[in-house]
Amino acid sequence: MNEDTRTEIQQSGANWTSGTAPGERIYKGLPASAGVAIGRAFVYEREEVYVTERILSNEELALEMTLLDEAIVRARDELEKIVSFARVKLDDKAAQIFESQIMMLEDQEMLSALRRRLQDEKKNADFLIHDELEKFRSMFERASDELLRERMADLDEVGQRIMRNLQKKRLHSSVEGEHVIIAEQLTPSDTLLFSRNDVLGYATDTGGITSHAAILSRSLKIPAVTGLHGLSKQIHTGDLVILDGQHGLLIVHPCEKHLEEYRRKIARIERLEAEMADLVDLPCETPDGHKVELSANAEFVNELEYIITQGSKGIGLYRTEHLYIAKGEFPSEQEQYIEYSEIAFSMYPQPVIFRTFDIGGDKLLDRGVPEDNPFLGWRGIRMMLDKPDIFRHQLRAILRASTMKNIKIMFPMISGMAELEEVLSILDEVKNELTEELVPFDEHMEVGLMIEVPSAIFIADELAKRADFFSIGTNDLVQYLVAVDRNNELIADMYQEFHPAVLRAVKSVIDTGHANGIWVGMCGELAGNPLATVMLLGFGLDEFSMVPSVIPEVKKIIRSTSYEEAHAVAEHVLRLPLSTQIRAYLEKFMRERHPQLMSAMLDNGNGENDLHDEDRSIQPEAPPDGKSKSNGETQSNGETQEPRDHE
Amino acid sequence: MIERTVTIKNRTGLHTRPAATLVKTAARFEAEFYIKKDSFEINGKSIIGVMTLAAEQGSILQLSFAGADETEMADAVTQLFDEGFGEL
Repeated sequence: MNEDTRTEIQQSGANWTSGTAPGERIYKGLPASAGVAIGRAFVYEREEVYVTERILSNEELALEMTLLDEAIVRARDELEKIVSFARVKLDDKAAQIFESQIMMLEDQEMLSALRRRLQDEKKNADFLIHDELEKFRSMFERASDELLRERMADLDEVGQRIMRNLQKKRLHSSVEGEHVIIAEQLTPSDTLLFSRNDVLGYATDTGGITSHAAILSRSLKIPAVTGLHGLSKQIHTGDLVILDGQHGLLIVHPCEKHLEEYRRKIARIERLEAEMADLVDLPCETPDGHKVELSANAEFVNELEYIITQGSKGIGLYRTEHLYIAKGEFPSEQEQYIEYSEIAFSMYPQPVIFRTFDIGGDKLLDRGVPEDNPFLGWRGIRMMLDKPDIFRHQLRAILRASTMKNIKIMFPMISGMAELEEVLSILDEVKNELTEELVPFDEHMEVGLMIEVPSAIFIADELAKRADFFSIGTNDLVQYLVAVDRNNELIADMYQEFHPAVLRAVKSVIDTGHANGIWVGMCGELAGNPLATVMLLGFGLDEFSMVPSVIPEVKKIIRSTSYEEAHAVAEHVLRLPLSTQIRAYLEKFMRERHPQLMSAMLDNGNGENDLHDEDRSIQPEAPPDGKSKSNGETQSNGETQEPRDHE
Repeated sequence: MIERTVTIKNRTGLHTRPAATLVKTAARFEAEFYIKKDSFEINGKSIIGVMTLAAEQGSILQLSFAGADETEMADAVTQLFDEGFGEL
């Protein structure tokens, strides 16, 4: 691409950003299927079926009827071959996508409408099919449900298949060699049939992550990125590309640095996959039969698939603030309801814990009044209690999404009983409202509290009587308990997750929870730090919620440590007075028990990646002194995702 | 003619798989089968029709059956809805 065209694109609202090397372009789309590929692009252009309207003579009409019947038979034969290929290559579930296309093809309602119109209007059949499709398109587009709207893609494919057969054209659904396929859009059958060749990945301009094409790429384990508006017109067959299906990135003409980084990543993924593949479906259980739950921290719908593939048992923390941050204002009840139900539905039957808006502190609400101590200020549940309308909308949306009974709710920043009672009475009022309106919801939805304010630790016994679970938010807890602002570089080294006071507080909250018959989880960074796993297991923690990428490692550690041994480690840790001693003791234990994992942890702590900061197969080992956010290992080029782990 | 009112219980609503199951079941019977949601009515033997209903979890549908085997058909179809199309 020459300099002029580039300027042109940028002026017209470029859909890519420049990389670090000349000519490198980075596109950001939606991650449709995980995995990474490096290879040459192949730009696939579907042969368009053009339709023109004609009036038929009586002789032509009789012939057209026969041609239509023949086209349907041929279309059916094609689809049946695809069904059996899907069954062999994948499974019945994939085959069902194409079986339902056969049912659409044979839909009596549509066929009789077609034949009737052919008879009455005497127009060519392919035009009539096109016209009928447009009618259905307008009906589908009324649907509020994205899943349903995307089913129009199936109907379109069926219609195209009949029209193509009417025009007696053959389909060229094949590509040669190892390529990353670039297309404006891919149909479900393209996605499946291309996989007969050595396809490296798919990158498309349009299509959602719930489309059948995306679902098939995931089943086929072919990396895919969608929603790369305009890409297919800006790239040429033969261009070198990197496709990152985990982060939804496509890098054209990558620089040597990115190539090297992704080559290493591919090697690492292959190594880990081999090791972890067997782990995903295994229960998270110690050799002596103690079970714990491993769940994921999340905040975007498009993370869900990845979370599931990592072997998570649900979402232990779903952050809702992004809805506010993205819009700059609080989202409506309906907008929230749509998002929450989609998450509940995608994760079903696994549980999802929604945390109500936690805005304030470093997640700033721009209201023009700077606070002297934002972290001790108007944030979390405090703000919600001052904005009861907004709070009620969120509670209604969460309750309405709870009908499948896999949703739990939790409140951030709870510091005392009066506050909790106020929250619970609002929740009760909202439930009564819904009951009166005959709106269904899960009456027994579990209610949890985040334990992150030090006062909550000392009244945990009282709080536990009014809650179904606790979730310990270690990031804020450390900050408040040790009175250290982790963003202040002068004292950042005092931010110690392994501070004995922090660990004793954690242990005490777990014990108090258990004594009062409720379960206790943790959703702060500590929960996903492999160095802390054995200790937390020994403390009796019931649920660990973490960035999804570390789940396999943590699971591996838990599956190879007996509960008895973990208990002994925990006891020992609680007797050590210095955080340096605690870390040294845990490191020694891990080096002896999991030498490979430990060296991988150190290897990954070096921050080789400048595109995003969360792709490590191992938690960036919340470093000894918690400086991870300030040592320049994040950053780059505008594509960086915000660091997520602020709990 | 037999009329029944059903609520969609399964989480996915009448998406591809449940819609296919419904239409396949309906096809085993002779009777005519219509589904009405709000003021919108479609032929229950048409998969495209069923999909255009955009019936999500919690939707209330009016079913009507007319023909020789309407009783058997009504029972078979209602059972599918009651069992949430095997997705409960």
